[in-house]
Amino acid sequence: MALRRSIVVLWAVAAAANAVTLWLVFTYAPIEVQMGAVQKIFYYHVPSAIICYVLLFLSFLFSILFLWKDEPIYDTLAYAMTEVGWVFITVVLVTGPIWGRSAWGKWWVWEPRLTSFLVLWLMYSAYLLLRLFSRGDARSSKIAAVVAIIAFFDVPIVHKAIAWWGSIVHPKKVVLEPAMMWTFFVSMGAVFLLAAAFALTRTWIGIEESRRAEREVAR
Amino acid sequence: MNSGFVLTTLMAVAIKTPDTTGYMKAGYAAIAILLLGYTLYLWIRARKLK
Repeated sequence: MALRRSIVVLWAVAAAANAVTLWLVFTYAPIEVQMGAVQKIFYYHVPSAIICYVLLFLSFLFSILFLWKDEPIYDTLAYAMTEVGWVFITVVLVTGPIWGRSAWGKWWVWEPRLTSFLVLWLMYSAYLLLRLFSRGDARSSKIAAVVAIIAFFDVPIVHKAIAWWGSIVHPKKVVLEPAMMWTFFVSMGAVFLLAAAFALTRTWIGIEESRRAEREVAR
Repeated sequence: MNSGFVLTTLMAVAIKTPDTTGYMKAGYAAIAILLLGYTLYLWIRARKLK
């Protein structure tokens, strides 16, 4: 009951934070001189990328703990973090080409950052398909945990891609003016709260579904 | 499936919009579809547990 109440409060705070963010994005943050209005995608594109790194790290951590301790709760947590992380990877992957088409005239460029990020999406999609079509037994959970651990090794590659191999479209360093910076900080907090609400809700659903399945087996 | 169709339509609209505002709108519409869509999915799954 306390968890359900925390989830409701978190959703309310996340909704309010996102409303403030949208207000700042469309009324306070200035329009970037070179790219124009499309640059405003930045305020959800970049925080989504950072949040997906955090969620995928948690998925990696819980997958290791599941293989080590063999406790079903770690499997539930890893599945929840991966699913929510995948949503944010998709946000990045969909908004990036829209921004790119306007700013650089191309939907997609086969450069290291974009290619490694697409590989990331494909690997976590494979994880989710594996979970979706497996019977939910311990063996398939362990295979999924191994997939999550292997897939996570692409995250540092995505992060360091520009430093290691350079980029045609992504800048090495982004300089923001104060109004843009403040809007970015608020959007970062709002996306973080939304991700926390998603993750907590999804974990609660996973726990409740497992309990129901156990009760049905016991009957 | 439906969200894929909506996203494809939005991208098609964005191609035909000559200014950067059109792309910004398409981008935010895509963000809204994905995040609200996932919220709805969680809400439906949570309701089934009641």
